[in-house]
Amino acid sequence: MNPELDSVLEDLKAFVDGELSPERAKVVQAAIDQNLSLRQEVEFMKTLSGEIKSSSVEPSPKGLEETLSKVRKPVFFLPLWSRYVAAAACGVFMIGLFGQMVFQPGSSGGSETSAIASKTSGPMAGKSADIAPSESESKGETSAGHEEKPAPTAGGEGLDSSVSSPPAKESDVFARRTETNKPKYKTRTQSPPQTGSGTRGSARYVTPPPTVKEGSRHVIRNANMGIKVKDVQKAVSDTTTQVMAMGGIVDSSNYTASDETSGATVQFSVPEKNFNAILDTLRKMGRVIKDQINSQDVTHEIADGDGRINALADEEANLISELSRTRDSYTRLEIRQRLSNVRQEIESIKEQNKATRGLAAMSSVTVEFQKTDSLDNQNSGWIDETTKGASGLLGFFGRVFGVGLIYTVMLAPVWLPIVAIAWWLKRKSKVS
Amino acid sequence: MEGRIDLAKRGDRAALEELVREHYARVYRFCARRIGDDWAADATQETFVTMQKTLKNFKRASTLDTWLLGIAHNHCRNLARKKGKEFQATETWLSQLADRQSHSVIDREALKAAMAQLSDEHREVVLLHEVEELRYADIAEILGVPEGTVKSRLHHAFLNLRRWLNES
Repeated sequence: MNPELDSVLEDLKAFVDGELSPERAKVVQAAIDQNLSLRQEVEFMKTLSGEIKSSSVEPSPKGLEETLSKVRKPVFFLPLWSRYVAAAACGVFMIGLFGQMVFQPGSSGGSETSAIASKTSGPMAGKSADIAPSESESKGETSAGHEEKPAPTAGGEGLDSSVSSPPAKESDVFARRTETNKPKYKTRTQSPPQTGSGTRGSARYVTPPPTVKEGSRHVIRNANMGIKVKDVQKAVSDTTTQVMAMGGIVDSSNYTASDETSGATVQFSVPEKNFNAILDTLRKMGRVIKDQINSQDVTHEIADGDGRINALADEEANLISELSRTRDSYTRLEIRQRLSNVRQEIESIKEQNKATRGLAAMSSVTVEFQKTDSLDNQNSGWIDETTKGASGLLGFFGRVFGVGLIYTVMLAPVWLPIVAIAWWLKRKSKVS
Repeated sequence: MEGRIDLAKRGDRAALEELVREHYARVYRFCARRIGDDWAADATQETFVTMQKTLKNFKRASTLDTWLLGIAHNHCRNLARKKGKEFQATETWLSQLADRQSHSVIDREALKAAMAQLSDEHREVVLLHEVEELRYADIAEILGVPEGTVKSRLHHAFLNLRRWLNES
């Protein structure tokens, strides 16, 4: 075949349709003039085009009025890219929420709460001397007070200062980690107590420390409550009566009154077994504005003490044996001295363990009573409670939304290019 | 014309209605030849609703007519897919070709058979060029392919038609 002729043949249809450039049309025209078969081809194409054109259907248009009425209405139209962006943003938002819920350190359940509670008090056993005072404070430990100044069996003095004002940082962590875990335990915590201050800051829901199996563990529990009552004196009297009926004792009581307000702070030591029942009783005395419970697991401390006593007892026996065998006066004197030290240490540890057991047997409860304002009466309590509950829930959803939003925005450099590429590919495929 | 488009872009309802009236018949016939008379009204309506929504994106790279036919082409294809109908069904226009009685040089039945044998791509360009009387550039715009591809497809479509008509 002639390449030139092939080229002309390829352009023949375009020539017939008038789609060639003038220069190319001249070349094709010259070829047609010189070639009969090309002329016949052109004639055929024209005939075929004419046949198709003349035979094309001409349907009568219908539905013009409906279309007009449709376009008369204003429309709201989102561009295609916005749908991609919205879908991707939603996806990232959901991933963010899911990730937050699944991978957040405090979301693994109640055991986390237990771990935190133990962590706060666990290292206490026999290690207080190794921890600097500032470090001990920052961890919220109460061991120093206990070891240096063991409280009497029924007493609570040793606990008072440490329990009533726990370190805010630890408390915040505790509250944050526990508030999403067990919402059914709705107790509230506030800033550290200030007698008579009447603080009514924003309350937060926290989970009480885990219940410890009786007999197997030794836990020192402390509660700090704020209650608004109509009559402070009556409330103090009733509370004292009820707590004492349940085996508790009053450690201290402080009543203050002025023209405008009155308040009282009472500190009880209550048997561990009645701790929860006494708290329930107190909660019914009025409107609870503060409800804070701390617990400290001292099981390890006691076990450690027992172990040390056993070791020292062995050493004591060895020294006695050695003493009986030794005849040298100087050596006997030295052994006696060591024996005396060992016995002193044994007694000291025994006393410490006894004191700690006593603390675990009796829990401390501090209650601050405040007089209810004239307008802030008992009947409006449920409204206040509901409002606070709702605002807490709103805050929760706000935080959830915020978390999702932050994920979406922060991960924008990742997902936006992907969306842009997907959109571009979609457009490209549509065009092709 | 240009004035009406600008007015319609700015939200002038009257100008928009005039554009619809002016192009309705052309778009309707275009749709009817692709998906049949039954669904042509729906496809045409969708085309003009889309025009209303996206007229501000019309950059005048082509004529409004071509732009509308491009939209209609996509709507017809989507509608055909949705309704399970054949796009550019042969019955829609080949049967009409056979029904027409005129002074014909080419045997209509043979032409119908030859057209039916064409590939979809070839039949598409034949339809757009011969029936819709669109220029190559407009066809390229509607189909989203280079102009050279349109030219090539048309050339081969006619070569095939000639061969099959000769055989018959």
